[in-house]
Amino acid sequence: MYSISNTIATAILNALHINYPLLDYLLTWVIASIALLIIIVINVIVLIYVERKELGRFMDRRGPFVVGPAGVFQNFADMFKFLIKEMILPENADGLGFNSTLVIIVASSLLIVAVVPEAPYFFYTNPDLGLLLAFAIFAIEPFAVVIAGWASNNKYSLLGGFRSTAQMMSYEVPLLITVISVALVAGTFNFSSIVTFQEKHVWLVGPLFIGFIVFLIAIVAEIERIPFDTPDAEAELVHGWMTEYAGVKFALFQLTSYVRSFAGAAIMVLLFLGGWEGPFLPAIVWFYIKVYAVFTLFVWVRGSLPRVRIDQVLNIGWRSLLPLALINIVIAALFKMSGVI
Amino acid sequence: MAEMWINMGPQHPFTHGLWTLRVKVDGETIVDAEPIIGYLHRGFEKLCENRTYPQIIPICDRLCYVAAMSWDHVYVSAVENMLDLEVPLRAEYIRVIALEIQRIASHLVWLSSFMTDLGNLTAFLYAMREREMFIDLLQALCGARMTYNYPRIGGLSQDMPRDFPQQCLKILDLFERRLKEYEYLIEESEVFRIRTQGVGYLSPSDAINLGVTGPALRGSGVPVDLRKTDPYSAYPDFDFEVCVEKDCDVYARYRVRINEMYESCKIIRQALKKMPPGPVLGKVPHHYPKGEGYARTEDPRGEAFFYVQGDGTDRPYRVKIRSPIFVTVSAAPKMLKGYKVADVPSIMGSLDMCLGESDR
Amino acid sequence: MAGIPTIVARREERDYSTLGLSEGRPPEELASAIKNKFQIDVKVKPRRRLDAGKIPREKLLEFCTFLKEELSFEHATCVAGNDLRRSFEVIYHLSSYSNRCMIQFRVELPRDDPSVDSISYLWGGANWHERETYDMYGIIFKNHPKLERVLMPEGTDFFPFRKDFKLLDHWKIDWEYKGKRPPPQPMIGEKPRDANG
Repeated sequence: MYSISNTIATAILNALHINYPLLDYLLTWVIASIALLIIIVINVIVLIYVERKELGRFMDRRGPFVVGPAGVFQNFADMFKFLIKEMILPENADGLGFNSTLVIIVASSLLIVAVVPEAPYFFYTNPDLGLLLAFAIFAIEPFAVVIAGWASNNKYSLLGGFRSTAQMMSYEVPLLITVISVALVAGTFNFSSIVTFQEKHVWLVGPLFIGFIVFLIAIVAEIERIPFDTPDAEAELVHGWMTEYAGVKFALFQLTSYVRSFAGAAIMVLLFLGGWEGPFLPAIVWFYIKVYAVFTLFVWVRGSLPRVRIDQVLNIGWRSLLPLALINIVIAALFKMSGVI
Repeated sequence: MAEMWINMGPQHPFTHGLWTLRVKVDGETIVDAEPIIGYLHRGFEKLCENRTYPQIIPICDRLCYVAAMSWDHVYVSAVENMLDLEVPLRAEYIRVIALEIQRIASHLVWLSSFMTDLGNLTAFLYAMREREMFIDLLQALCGARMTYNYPRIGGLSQDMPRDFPQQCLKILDLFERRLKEYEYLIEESEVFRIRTQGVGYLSPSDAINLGVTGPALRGSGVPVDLRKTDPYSAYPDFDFEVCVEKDCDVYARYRVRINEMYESCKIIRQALKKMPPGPVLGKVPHHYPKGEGYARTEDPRGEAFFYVQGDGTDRPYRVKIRSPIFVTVSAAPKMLKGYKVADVPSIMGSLDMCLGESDR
Repeated sequence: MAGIPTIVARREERDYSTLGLSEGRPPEELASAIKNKFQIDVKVKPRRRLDAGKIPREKLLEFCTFLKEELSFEHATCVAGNDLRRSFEVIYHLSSYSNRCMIQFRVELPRDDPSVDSISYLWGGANWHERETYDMYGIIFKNHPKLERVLMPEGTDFFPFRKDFKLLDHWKIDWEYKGKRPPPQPMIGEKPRDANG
């Protein structure tokens, strides 16, 4: 993406007869960022459409199939509803905490997609420690969530913030241990190199199957989807830490949820499912096919299971997933040492 | 963290109807609870003192709007006991069919709201879809989907349509197949089991002492079902079982209600087969003498009881309604102590609250 | 990985598996037992109903204890208040699962001293029924653990179901208002409750 935006930027600056190299560099990155945002938004819209259609099939709802041709306008109906609502700041809420945490959460979620490459030639940036960077950014959210819950001046939001932070903290550990096992086998933290490794040898879902399962469960908990939905538990806490946010702010939180789903599914595909490898079609098409398949699995799970209680969520994280992740890392070490992979 | 009182309600997504539950929590564990009701109090019993006996039947539906037919039936039975009226046998059979269809519909509403509380939105829509079939049956029978106004003092207002038995049997076959599928969908998930098993313990002696009746009592191992213990209407003619579970927790009450739905299908089939011909309205009284009468039935939620006292005029002097949910909610603190705040929706959901009858 | 329940199931002393399904004692025997002890005429009605007429209010607690302990009336179905214009009345309905029958009796109270013993220590199910009777009629139940209003909001100072209560007179609503606002409704509680209850 850098080269394309570089060409566009130089073309614009030449047309305007300005000649600062620093400006050239900045404008390149600005155009690249705008392109990234457009891609993310298009992806999110398609993801929401996929989720509505699939849930509509499961739950026998009529909306997604009747509104517009093949239900395309359902998305716009939802977005429009959010846009016309009033944005409320509660009276005793801390304005700075309330608004700034929104910005932090949205920005950090968009940032994850920036470090995840989508094809060998199509990435925003591809750092050498891309894997660690992605998970470090993933982990910014719990801080902002607990501040948002506290800043809302609402007992329910506070409880929701606590639950969310506890859940995310306890699922970070098995997640990161699994990721380390992948990096151990592949020998690198760079996403593109991990995919190249999988193309050369075998998709890592085979040998590290336990790790795949742990990663799947932990990423669903990180994204706060049902069944690990307790911070957002509608039946108990109205809407958890997001309760007091109204209108466009709430729409932005929903957007973040889908962006993180996309990022989580993309990382899972890159680490375990072979990234962009596939027979006939170009790499980027295979990447998107796999990401949407993983996302369909997330929606399927959402449609079928009830919500897990918060102390049971933490039980699963610490007592079931952590030992499995440790077993997985031992298996990965054995595979690496014996030279099979 | 010190103990603090949290107000859950009155406006709260999981409270079906308007009531408040104040819980005293120590961290996440509930130490004490206090339900506050009365937001929907309409002064029903005083309202009845200004209406003639037949005029009370339409407003009895509004007592518990989810199980309206059984409240109509209780009131009409109480007045018939007061007057010693003989109800024709065909009317009794059709009343039983309507009651059992209403029981299935009411339990389906319970299922959908219970699963919504737990987070499974799919079961909510599935149960509502099945309920549509039964509401359509009741609409064929009496013309209304929710507030029926169907029984009359001395029988029923109209006979059933000619093709009602075939329609009914078709729907029952379809429903039993689908209910098996939904049972499997819900119970196979470990998440459902860990949220409902071991939660909300209510011992049998506590249940009997606190006046709890209905599925909550049968889920604690006490096989008291008023259709067998104290039979009324045409129930002695039918062969069905009392659904009892021994575990005393939320899962047991869930299983009791699912089994009751199957038993209701059995009863409807037997009633349709044995239906006697004849009139559906007996002798309609014109003069209501001084006296009193009472009747109790097995509402989908417990023991519904109606006491009517007449003073010789055409309006009653005193009407008293005992609602099962009023008493079960007062027993709720016993079931909540020691569990977590996150268990409140599943425990209160298993009691199947309908505020209309509780507040009258 | 089942959730560990925080309350361990207690073993029950009694076996309830046949309660309500066996015949138990016939109602005539129960009626004669009551007559022997209290000299009250109990009428036996069809479908196993008993009607014990009026009980003097001093004997109420003794009568109820006898019913619960000896004759095993385990379930208090209903406690209703009634306003006969010269006196008050409380109507009790109790039912027995073991003997499968139901008994009704009444207690008459004078209008200037409407108080009677509470049976909520014998049957916890009568607790809220007695609160409701107090709420609607003003009948005081002595030794009740928590005699407060349950259906009407707190701070209501009238008893709605009494025969001499007329709602419009109480509020004195002026239907044409004449530029004035109608009187405000009573709020729940005089002062808001805080975190300590």
